[in-house]
Amino acid sequence: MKDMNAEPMLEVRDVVHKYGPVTALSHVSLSAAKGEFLTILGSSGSGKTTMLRVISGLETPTSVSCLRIGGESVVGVPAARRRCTTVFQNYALFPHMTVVENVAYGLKIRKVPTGDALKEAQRALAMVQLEAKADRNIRQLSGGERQRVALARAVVTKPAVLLLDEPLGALDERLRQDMQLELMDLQRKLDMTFVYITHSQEEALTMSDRVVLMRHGRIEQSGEPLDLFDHPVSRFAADFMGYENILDGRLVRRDGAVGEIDLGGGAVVRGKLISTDLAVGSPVSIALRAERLSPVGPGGNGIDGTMKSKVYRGKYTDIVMETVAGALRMRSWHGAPMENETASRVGWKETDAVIFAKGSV
Amino acid sequence: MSDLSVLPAPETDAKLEISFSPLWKTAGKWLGLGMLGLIYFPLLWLVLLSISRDPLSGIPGPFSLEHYRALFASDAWHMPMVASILIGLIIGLISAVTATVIGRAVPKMHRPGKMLVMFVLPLFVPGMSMGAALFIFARSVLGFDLGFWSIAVGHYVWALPYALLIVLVVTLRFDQSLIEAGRDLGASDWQIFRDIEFPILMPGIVSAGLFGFLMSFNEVMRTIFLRGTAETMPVWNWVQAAAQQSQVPIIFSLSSIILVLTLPLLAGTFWLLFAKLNKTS
Repeated sequence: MKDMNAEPMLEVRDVVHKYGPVTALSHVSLSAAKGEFLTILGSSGSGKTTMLRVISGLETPTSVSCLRIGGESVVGVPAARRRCTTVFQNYALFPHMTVVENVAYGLKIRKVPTGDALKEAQRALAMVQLEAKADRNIRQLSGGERQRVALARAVVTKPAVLLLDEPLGALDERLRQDMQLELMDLQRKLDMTFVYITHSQEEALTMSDRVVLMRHGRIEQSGEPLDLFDHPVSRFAADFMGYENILDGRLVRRDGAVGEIDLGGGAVVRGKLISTDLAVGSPVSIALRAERLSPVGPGGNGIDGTMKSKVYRGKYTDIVMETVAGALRMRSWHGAPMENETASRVGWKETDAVIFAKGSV
Repeated sequence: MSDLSVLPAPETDAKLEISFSPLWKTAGKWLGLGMLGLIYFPLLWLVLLSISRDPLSGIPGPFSLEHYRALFASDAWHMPMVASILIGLIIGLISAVTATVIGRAVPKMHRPGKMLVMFVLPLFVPGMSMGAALFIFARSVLGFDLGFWSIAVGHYVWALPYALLIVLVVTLRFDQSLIEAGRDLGASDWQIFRDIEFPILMPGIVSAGLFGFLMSFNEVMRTIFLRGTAETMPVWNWVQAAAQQSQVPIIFSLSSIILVLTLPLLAGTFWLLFAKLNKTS
């Protein structure tokens, strides 16, 4: 675990940014410790890219009360003089320079003697397994290789914070998974603070030490990946983190961390409460992952229903159960044995269901 | 309509048959070759006549370089040549610079379409009208004495739209995110221009300059209106050729030399613009 008490490498407090009448960032604060892998997760329009541009200095925020990189305040400091570099989504490699010239450019600007700069650049290229292609033209590289060059170019100047703007977005599935592992490896080796932007919850969960989920220019939830995965605090967070079933009801009883909610139609189910300040009687939602549901006998925590459809998908079987609270999606990993079964009740462990306040969508 | 296979094949139309006859392909090929001949044969003939003893006979040979000797012995063409080269260089340089300034701004403009149309329009304005208009403008409005500088103004107006169109080929393709990348890596605005933007735009800027030079060097129509008593190379050539005097044979030599020097320049322009450019982006 990272030492969160050390002075943060990145500290942003209360940033507001408006594009004309549109508010892209509304009082957002975040920080990242040295060597931390922080992911800003969100769909397009959530403000995550604006956040990155504000940090890098390519965008000047409407207002910000504190913006520090590597311990120095960079409010009003132009992008060129901030100790952070960016790996751009489209790579933005210089087409008229060779691979090694691209990587060495940041060093050249910092007046590093040419010989040393090229040596450093070669070392950075070796780190991304591209030393053999140092003298190639950018056009001769594949998408994945360009990605690595962009990465080498950004880390070679040893920034306090490395910003990555959906860097794997343009790569195919297989390459993306390989690059995820490589990025994590690189980040650990360099012990550098990474701020990674993505819309993919899978990338966020795989790589990050901490995830910040953004929505409409605000932070919806932040925490460790497991936290977001298992304890979404709102319908939006649950939906974004891949909860297939979200049912609305009313909290009827609470017993420590366990709540009991009435879904209507006589169905009363249990799950764990995300927040302790939910009052009995208040409207809540319960979120359930399809793979944590299973057919149960009568009486257990769950809800009665009838099987509506069953689709065999090889590794697993997707089942839709019709219940009084609406359709419930269930995923069974048992494969063939499930095939001939029917179920009349679907249930789950109390700790596998989360209950949060029913907010606006 | 129960069984399509029993439907009779449609009657072939005799007229359609003719319009797709292989004859057209052959005819097109030979017509094309003929037209190419019409374009290039006179040029070749000119060069052949320039090295003939009696060019006015129209038949090449017997060959000799005496007209070239006469050309280099005479100095009557020196001043027009110097004037043309000088104006050409000035116009090439200024067109390249202004076209670059305007061309860099166009991609950032909200809706540059109208302005661009206005820029391209002069290419279709008759040279005579433009010449007459500039004649009045230079003399009465700017108060220029007609001569070197009024010719330069006319040539500038003529060459700039071409230069701009050429520069736009590179500026519109320029990826603005490269500037952000440069800034992100710590480069100052000047360093970004010097190291990133200019090298990428360079083929277009140089082509624009070369083309501006050629447009100015070859211009006659506007020059006639604006020249006062000054003479440029093509105007001098034209006057001499029209005068039906003994000087005429050396015109052939001079024109040949200009042709041989101009063609590589033009080829260079297009090579820069298309072959070289594709390697850098």
